[in-house]
Amino acid sequence: MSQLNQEPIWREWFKKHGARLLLFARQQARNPADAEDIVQEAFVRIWRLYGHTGEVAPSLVYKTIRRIAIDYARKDIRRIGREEKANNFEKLELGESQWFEYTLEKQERHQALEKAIQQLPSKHQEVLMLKIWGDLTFEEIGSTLGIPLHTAASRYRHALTKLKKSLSKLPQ
Amino acid sequence: MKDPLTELEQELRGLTPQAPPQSFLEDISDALGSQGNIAVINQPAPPSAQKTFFPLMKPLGIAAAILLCAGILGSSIYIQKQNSIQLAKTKVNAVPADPSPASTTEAPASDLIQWQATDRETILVDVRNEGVIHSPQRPPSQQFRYRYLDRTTFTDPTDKSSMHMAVPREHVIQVKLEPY
Repeated sequence: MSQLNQEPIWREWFKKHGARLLLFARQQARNPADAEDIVQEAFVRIWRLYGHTGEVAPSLVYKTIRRIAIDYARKDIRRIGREEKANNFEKLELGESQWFEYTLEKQERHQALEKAIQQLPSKHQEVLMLKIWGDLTFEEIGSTLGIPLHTAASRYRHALTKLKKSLSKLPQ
Repeated sequence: MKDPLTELEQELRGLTPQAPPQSFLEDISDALGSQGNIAVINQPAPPSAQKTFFPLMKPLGIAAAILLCAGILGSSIYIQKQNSIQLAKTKVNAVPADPSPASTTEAPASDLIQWQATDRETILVDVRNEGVIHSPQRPPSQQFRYRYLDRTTFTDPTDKSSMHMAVPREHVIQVKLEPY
């Protein structure tokens, strides 16, 4: 008889979507510490509501992350705690935090790509994040960000064009 | 020609977002508390655990099964042997005659008389040439085997009921061969 281990579903779910959620939160938050807090808060909030079903739509968590990130930006109630946590990170500035894993052979190119993404306007960044790494449709992106579908599509197009332009300036 | 933006899109998809640290998962686990364990999935035990479990259990199970089979076989042979020994020791005379041989009641003689064989026929079913038979005491002969079916119909004249009986029969004929 084979033995079975019982693992909470949320762990499996988080293994699949956690990195993407955190990436989106890093884009939305001011620093990595805030990003983790935001993801945790959003995920726990949504999982408590819908986790018993065993499946939660990632777009719902993205939406919550964005709302909480806006709240974080507006309120300063957690400033002290955030600063304490942020002290543990070497890179505090948004532009200096690492968002992606780098492979050895393409490290320079990946760094350049990341830098170019971080230089994009926030409204373009978020659409790019949700489309490329969140695997959401333009309709879902529109719903998550509270913008029309066509606006999401055009922002995505603009983001790619700008990225292409800034990357073309770099030596290949 | 490929759209340059599509190429860029492909390149971007090649970038892997940084995975959350393990401590972050533990923080979430703490925050979820018991609610996190409401929905669970059953996963097979890690391969290392299975490896330590099966190599011990499998040979033991096979050995136990073999021992069980051998025990059953041995005991059945022993019982059979004992029975045959006991039967061999029993004298034929000692076998008590069954006081009530059968529960069947003998039919009265008058009933048997009533049945009359009204129709008899012999059907030749098969003839087989079985070749030359050599015997040291006798000259060689060709052997033929005839197979018949003797069918008889009995009729009871009182109520005209009938009964059919078929008996297979073999007839072997040896035809002596003249040696040269």
